[in-house]
Amino acid sequence: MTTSLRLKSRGAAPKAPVDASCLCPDRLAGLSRREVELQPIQVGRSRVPLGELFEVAGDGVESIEVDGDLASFARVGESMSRGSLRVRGAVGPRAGARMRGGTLVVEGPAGDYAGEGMKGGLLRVRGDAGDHLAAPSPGSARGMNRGTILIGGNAGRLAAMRMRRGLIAVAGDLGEGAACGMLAGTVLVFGRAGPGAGALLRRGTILGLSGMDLLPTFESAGPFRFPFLEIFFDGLESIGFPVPPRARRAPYVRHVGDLSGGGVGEILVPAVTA
Amino acid sequence: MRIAGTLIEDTYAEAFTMRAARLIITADSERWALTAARSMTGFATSVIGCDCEAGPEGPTPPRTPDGRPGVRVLVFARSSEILKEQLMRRVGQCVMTAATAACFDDLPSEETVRVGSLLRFFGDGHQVSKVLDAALADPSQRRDRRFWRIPVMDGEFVVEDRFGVRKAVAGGNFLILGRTPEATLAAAERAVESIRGIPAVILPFPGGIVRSGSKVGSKYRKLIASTNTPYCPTLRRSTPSALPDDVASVLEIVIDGLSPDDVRRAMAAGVSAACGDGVVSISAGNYGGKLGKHLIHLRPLFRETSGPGPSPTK
Repeated sequence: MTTSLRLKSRGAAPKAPVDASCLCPDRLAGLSRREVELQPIQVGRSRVPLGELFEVAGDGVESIEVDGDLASFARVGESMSRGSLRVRGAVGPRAGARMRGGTLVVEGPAGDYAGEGMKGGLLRVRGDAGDHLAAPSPGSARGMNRGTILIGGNAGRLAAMRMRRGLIAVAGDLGEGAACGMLAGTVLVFGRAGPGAGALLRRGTILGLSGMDLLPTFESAGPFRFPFLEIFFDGLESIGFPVPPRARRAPYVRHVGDLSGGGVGEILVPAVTA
Repeated sequence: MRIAGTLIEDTYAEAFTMRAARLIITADSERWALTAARSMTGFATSVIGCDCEAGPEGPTPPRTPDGRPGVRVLVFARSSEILKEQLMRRVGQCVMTAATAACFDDLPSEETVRVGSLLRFFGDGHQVSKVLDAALADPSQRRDRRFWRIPVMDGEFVVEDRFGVRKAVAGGNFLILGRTPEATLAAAERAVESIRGIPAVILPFPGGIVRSGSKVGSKYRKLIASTNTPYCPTLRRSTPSALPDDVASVLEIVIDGLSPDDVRRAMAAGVSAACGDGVVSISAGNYGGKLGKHLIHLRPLFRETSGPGPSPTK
């Protein structure tokens, strides 16, 4: 059984920003259809019942599907810890912020700060993601700490800032300053990573399949084959995230850094493009 | 009951509950995966003297975690604690040292023991941990999987952090009583060949065959086991013997498996293959039913399973 919410009409999408943190399995599971419709949702400065914006079908369960363009809806799936939430359309900023578990799938693009302060679960965006993907929560010294983020398109600037654990895979390109201050974890970019990737990297792995402009504070340790990458590639393919064939069983040049901060992280670039 | 003219004695094998782990060892080539597996399972014939029983498992895995050629290995020990110790030592000394090899868990289980998380210290601070989220892990595992990348001289040794442990069955067996040593060995080799392709079982002894079967206890107080005198043909007339006069040689096949059914399946296949010319009868080693939890009767094997070989006759 699935709870379905359909945005009533194009005109029904509010112009004011919407805090959609109530669109979360933790908040809706166990509620009757009527109770789901009465859940308050913050639109600008006022609170309105969810039923005013969405047609609701089915009682509240841990599997939720939402149809509509939610580009002005912030915090979709915030703090979710279980179940699944699928949005057939775009979502606004901070989708999946502070996620701890469950699966959030966005069929369209996601706004800035997707997966902010993430601590577990799977966030999958089939379109592009905005800036500050997997950023630290405000006031936090660490960024993403466990979990998996998969981006089917490109992601913007400053992704994976101060990331501590987990996996981010991006099918397209990453904007500038990716994995700045990264503490550990894994970032796989099948496109090209923008300038400044890995600045102040402490530990962790960044793979740039289509190469990148490396900072001069990284030094090559030479080309190697890394069997552990195949484990990640298999895992990605097992849930339908395509891995380019040229990524498999290829030798990668390991660049160690960021030496400016005594870091021992690594940037892996295919040996043929290095 | 007779199969191909060989008598199947109305007796049973007595098998024991043990703890088991299942590993996949991979390498750049199957040859090196097998080299590591053979090295790791050396001196692991019996818990009596080796602390564990181990061997490469029959069919090669169709897929391995890192996509390279691989070999499955089963390891059995009396307790999870001993199993952990043995895995740590054997993976550390025999797999980590083998060129290009890596080592992964292949037994999803609630109970796990530390292996990679102990071996990682060999990395002297340069080891790197990688965690594959449960969402991406093999559905059978249903947990986050942590791997350690330990820098070694040919690149990196990748080993899984923890290995699953399950209750399993060890000590499934049957005895081949032959007219001549040559006929007995040939029958045992046929049995081993037929069991090698069966999944979830191993034959821990050299070549899969035991010539020095044991009985419980000894006249010497310090020994917990000693030679199986009733089945030693040279002791006929000097000790109580279980051997007919026309038996000149006895060989034993010992089988460890992940479940009683796995062991039964292997015993059925092995007994069927062993029966034939020169084999007087098939018996089994037991201790009067007092020691092992699993009593595997020989004759019902051929009613329960449809193993290869000739059909039994009454």
